[in-house]
Amino acid sequence: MKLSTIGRHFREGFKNVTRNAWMSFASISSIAIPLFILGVFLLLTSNVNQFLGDIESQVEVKVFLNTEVPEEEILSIKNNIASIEEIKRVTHITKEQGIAELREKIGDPLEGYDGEDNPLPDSFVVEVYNSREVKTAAEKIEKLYEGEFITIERAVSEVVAQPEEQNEIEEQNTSEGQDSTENITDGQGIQEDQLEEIQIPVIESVKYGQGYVENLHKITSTIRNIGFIIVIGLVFTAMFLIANTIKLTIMARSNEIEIMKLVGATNQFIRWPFFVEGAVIGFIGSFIPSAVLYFGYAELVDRSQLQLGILGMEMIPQNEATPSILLALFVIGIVIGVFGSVLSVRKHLKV
Amino acid sequence: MSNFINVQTLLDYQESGSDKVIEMQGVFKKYPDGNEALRGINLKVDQNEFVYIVGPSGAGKSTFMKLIYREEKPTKGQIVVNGFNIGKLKQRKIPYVRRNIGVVFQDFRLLPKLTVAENVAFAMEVIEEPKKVIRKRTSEVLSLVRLKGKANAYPSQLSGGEQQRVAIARAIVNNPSLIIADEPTGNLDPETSWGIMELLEEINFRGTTIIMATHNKDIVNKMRKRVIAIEDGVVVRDEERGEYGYET
Ligand SMILES: Nc1ncnc2c1ncn2[C@@H]1O[C@H](COP(=O)(O)OP(=O)(O)OP(=O)(O)O)[C@@H](O)[C@H]1O
Ligand SMILES: [Mg+2]
Repeated sequence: MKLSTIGRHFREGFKNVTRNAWMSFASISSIAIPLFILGVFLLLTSNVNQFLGDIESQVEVKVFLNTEVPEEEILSIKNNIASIEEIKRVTHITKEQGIAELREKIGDPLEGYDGEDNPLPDSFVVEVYNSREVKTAAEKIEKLYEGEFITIERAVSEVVAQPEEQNEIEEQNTSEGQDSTENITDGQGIQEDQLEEIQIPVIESVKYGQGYVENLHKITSTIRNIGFIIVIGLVFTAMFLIANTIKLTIMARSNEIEIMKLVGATNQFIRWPFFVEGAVIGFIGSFIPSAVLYFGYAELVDRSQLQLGILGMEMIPQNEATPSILLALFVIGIVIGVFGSVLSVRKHLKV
Repeated sequence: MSNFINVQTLLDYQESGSDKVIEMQGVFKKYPDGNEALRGINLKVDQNEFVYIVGPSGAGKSTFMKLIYREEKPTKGQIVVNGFNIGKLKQRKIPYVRRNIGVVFQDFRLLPKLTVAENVAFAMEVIEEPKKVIRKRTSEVLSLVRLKGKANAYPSQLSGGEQQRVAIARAIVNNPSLIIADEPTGNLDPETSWGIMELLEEINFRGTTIIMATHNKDIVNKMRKRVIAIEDGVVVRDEERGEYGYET
C-alpha cells in the first residue's frame, strides 16, 4: 500500500463519520451510554472498596502481657513485637491507662484498684499494614515468646505437698548458677511469707477479634465479586448493543461495499476506512462519557466532602480515581468501535 | 494495462492459447430461485471487437455480462476472460481482474454519498494512482461526457441521463482493455446518445474491446458492428455488421 493511499483511507474514514451522520450518531450513542454506566459503576465500586478498606484498616491486634512482667522488660518486648514485618505500629497501654479507660466505661466499682492493687496487665495495641495479615501477625507475636518465661520471686503462703515432684520440675526449669530453693525443700514445717522463684510466660494472650475480621473479609469480598460480575455484564451488554448498531450501519452500506468491489477494490482497501471510522466513533463515544464523568465526579467529591467527613469517610480524590477509569473507557470504546466496524464489514465483502 | 502487472496474478495466468478476450463454453446460469437465465452459451470475442448484445427484455443479456466481470458465477461451463478462468478464480484475485474491465451498469451503481468527481476518482484510488493523475484524469473524463459543471453534485441531484454519463466516465477512466456497457444509452436523448456512441467508437478505435447490450435499433443499424442476439438464455444469432433485427 502506498503512503498516499494510507492518507486517503484516513481522510475517507473521517469523512464517512459525517457522511453517515445519523448512523454515526446512533453508533456513538450506543457506545457512550453503556460506557457512561460502566464508568459510574467503576467509580462506585472503587469508592466502596475504599470505604471497606478504611474499615478493614481499623482492625487491630491486642497483646496482653502477664501482670507479673516487670516494667523494665516492657520496652524491649514492645520493640521485639514492632520488628515483625507485617506490623506497622505498636502502642503501649499501661495498666494505669487501662484502668482509666475501663473506669470511664463502668465507673464506681473500680474505685480503689490503683497502684499495687491494679489488677490489669500492661497491653499493646498493634496495628498491621494489611488487615488480611492480622491473623499472621497475631500468630507471629504468640510464637515470639513461646516457651520463654521470666523468672520472678513471689511470696508463697503454702507448703507444697509433694516436695520431691516440685524439685524435679524446678531442676528442669531452673538454669544453673541460680540459687536454688534449698530453704524450702527440707520438708520441715510451714514457713509464712516464704519467697519462691517461679517461671511465668511473658505474654498472657493475643487477641484480634477473630470472628469479626473474618466476617468482614467475607462481606467485602462478596461485595467486590458482585461488583465484578456486574461490570462484566455491562461490558457484554455494551458490546452487544454496539455490534447491533454497527451491523445496522453496515447493512445500510452493503450496497456501497458491493459497488466498491465491482469497481475493483480489494477487501483491504474497503476495510481500512471502516477501521478508521470505527476508531473515530469509538473515540467520540468514549470521550463524551469520560468528560461527563471527569467533571461530574469532581463536583460530587466537592459537594459530598462535608457530609462524608462527618461519618469519617472520604471519597477517592478525582485525580486518583478518574485517570485509570477514563483510560479503561477509552480503550474499551476504541476497541469496540474498531472491532465492531471491521467485523461487520467482513460479511459484505464476499462480492 | 500497467496496473495489471502483478506477480501473483501473472503466476495465475492460464495460457488459453489464443488472443481471445472472452471465451465461453457451455455456460449455464441458474439463479438460486430456479430462474434459468442462460442455457448453454458458446462464443468468443476477439481483442478490439465491438459487440452489440440484443434481445428481448429478460432474455439474459445482463446475466451474460455479469458473468464476465464475475458479479455472478456460472452454474456450469467455463468462462475465460483475458486469460483468467473466471469461474475458478480465487476471491482474492477477483479485484485485479475487474480492474481491467470498465463496467457501465444498467442501474448505474454510483456511490450515493460521493460527488460525481469522487465517484469517478474512486476507480482510480482503488488502483492507487497518484493524486495528481487522479485530479487531471477525472476532469478530462468528465468533460468527455460533458459533466464538468456537475463535478461536485451528488448522484441524487442528477437526472437519469446524467447519472448514466457518470457511470460511463467511471468505466472508461482507467483505460481498461475491455468495456462492458449494459444499455449505456438507455436514459439518454438521441443527441447525447450519439455523443456517447462516438466516444465509445473512439475508445474502441484505440484498441479497447467493447461489449454493449442495447435496445436501441437506430444505433445498431446505423453504427454497424457484430451483433449477438440472445433469446431465452441462448444465442440465436451472431453476425458481423449485423442488424438490430427486432421491431420496437
Ligand atoms: N438476481 C436474480 N435472481 C433471480 N433471477 C434473476 C436475477 N437476475 C435476473 N434474473 C432473471 O434472469 C432472467 C434474465 O435476466 P437479465 O437481467 O439477464 O435479462 P436482460 O436480458 O438483461 O433484460 P433487460 O433487457 O430487461 O435488461 C430474467 O428472467 C430475470 O428475471
Ligand atoms: Mg438487462
